[in-house]
Amino acid sequence: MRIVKGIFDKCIIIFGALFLLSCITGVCLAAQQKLQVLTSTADLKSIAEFIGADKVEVASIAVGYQDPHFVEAKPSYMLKARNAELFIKIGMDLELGWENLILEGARNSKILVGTIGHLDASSGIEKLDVPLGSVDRSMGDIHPMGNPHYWLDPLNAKIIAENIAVRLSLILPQAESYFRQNLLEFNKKIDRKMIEWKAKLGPFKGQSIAIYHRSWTYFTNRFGLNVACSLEPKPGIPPSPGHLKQVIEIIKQKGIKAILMEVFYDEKPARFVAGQTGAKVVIVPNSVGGTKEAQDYFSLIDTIVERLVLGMQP
Amino acid sequence: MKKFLVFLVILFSVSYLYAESNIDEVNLLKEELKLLKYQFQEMKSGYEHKISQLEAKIEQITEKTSATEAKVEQVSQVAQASAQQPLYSARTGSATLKLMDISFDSLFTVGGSTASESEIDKLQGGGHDPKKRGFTTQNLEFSLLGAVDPYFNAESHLIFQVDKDGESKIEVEEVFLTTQSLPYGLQIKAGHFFTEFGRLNPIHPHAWAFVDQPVINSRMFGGDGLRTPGARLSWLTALPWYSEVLLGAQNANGETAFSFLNKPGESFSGYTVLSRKVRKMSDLLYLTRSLNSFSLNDETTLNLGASALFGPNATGVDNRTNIYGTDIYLKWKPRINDHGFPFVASQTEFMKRKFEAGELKDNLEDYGLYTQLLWGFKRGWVAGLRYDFADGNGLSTDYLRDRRQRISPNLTWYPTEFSKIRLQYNYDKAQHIDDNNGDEHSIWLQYEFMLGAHPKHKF
Repeated sequence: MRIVKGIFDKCIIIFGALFLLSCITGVCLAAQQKLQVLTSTADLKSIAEFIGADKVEVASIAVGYQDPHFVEAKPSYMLKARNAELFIKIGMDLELGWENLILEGARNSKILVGTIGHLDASSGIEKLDVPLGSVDRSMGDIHPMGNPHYWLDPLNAKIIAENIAVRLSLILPQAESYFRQNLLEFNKKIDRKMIEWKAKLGPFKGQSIAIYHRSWTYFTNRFGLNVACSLEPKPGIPPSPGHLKQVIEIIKQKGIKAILMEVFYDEKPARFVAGQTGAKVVIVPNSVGGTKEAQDYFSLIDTIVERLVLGMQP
Repeated sequence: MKKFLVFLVILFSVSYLYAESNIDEVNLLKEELKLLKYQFQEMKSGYEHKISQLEAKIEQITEKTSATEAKVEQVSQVAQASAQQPLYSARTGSATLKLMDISFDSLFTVGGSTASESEIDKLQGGGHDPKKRGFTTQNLEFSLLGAVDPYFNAESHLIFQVDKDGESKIEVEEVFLTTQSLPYGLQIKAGHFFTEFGRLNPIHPHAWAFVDQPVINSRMFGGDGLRTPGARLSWLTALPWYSEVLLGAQNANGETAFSFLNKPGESFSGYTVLSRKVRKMSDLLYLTRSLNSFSLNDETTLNLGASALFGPNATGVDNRTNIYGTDIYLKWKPRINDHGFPFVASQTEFMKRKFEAGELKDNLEDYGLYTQLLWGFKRGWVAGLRYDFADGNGLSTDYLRDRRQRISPNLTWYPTEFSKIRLQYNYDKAQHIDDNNGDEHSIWLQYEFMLGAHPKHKF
């Protein structure tokens, strides 16, 4: 019993000290006026910042140059989630590998699934590549709920923005008209930019491109491009020599000029195919912050469009 | 006349300015018009698309109606049949009702050693280590997990094992709940679970970076790791860095509480393990742990942990065992990485045990460490190197307390996150081995495959 008491006494002292420190930091945090928002990706952060503007402080878990499928549940992310009042995710199982670990590790009941502080931004999106029938892992990384890369269609960004505006208005009803106003601005800006993007990609309408991973369905659909083949034989499965041979055949046959891929994938297979066919490798960010130019959602699409146009030019 | 001229000049300049501002307005209107035109076109094409979709659907539906009627009978038969099948998850409307994740993980090894089979048994202290020349069924883990309700999540892991003599065993590895919505950063875990001492003890064998258990873990916690029924409270403090404090209380008896009450009748370093009942609070096993994590930069994370265990041992009526440990984990992964590769991760655990043995409370002291370095040099490929050291103030003939060293390089290929193949070489040097100058060489090939959805592993 003496030993247990000794341990107990020590624990009390340590806990007392930690508790005091915690209170101090707690008070500091409480002094922050802005609503703390945590997003799973940097694109959601960019849109949430546009809508929430002065009323919110937004942090993102994944950074733009990371593959959003493969984010590690680092303790520092749990720390970010601990103080958040709203968590926004892409959904459709994109964050499957890490969302639960971070939310469970954060011990923050305000942002658990099913609460007002947990927003799935994919609500209301017309989902593409939704598999029919049964799927299993022999088909690679198939998302049974459909392709989750919907943020790459600028018109879907409007839906995301509306979802965020509605949720922010629920949490801060007194600022509803402010969020509504920002949403209008955002939608207007998207429309303005759409004219520009469509004009730039217009000359290539109906043409085919090759891709690395099947993440461009929403983008190519919006701008009238065709995806002829992907370097991955199956989603998430690395390119094999046999498959690349087929890809080379298709590229030659269709006269494809560009191989579109994200910054974080292995360039070697794409360079190999390019060397064999004369197609250009177009490396683009698929998320805000993926490259220096992609500062926010608009400059992200700007960068993708500009680089693709350069790649597809004869 | 002069006045008239001045008037004209003013009139002209005013109208000029007015026209100028008009041009601005016209430009703005033009742009607005362009925007409206675009929006109208978008809307028009959107509606046209929808209408054509709907038309196609109507056509389909009219075609199908007759076929459907014929199928109704058939479907109702199928529905009756499937209603009798177990329901794991079912589609309801457009959402999937997820009741639980199920997975089955299989871990096998094949290999050999210069050591005899009875000697391998002593060198490979882990309960799921390969202990035999030839093939070993290391660990077959059946896992279920999911949300119980808004307040609790639960996990259950049952293990099937075929031991070196071919006998099948079933073990309850872990079954526990964790609370989801306690305030103040608190979380409770309750059930039957691995004690969260250090980094390796709570990790299941299939998730280890090496084929076998580190020597010091086998000595401190026995072959199967330290796990008994109990409860633990975790507090994520509000400090500016990640700082977690754990307090646990668990039963101290059973073969999975090797350094504590253990199993009556067993022998611990020559002392007989008696049957000792729980009479007071201090007859349980208590854990304290502090885990701190620091993001050194975007690419590097450092975890520092310190753990202590206090419990009774059954070599005497009120004998005690204390185990202390520190652990360091450092991981680097570049900003731009392909599916998590490349990376470098280093992990070291040091442990020390004070054990009061027998009636006279002889002081048995053991200590040791393992340190390992993993280098994921290419997508799916990891090279590893581990060094083991353990020693104690026991007899050099006691294979659980002599001075031992082991060096283990290995190479692992992960075709996907659900399978792996690993080749490992072990160089063993131990005082208790008489022949071969006290050293042995072993080589093991391990493979793993996983069916289903498994709980994700912690950082």
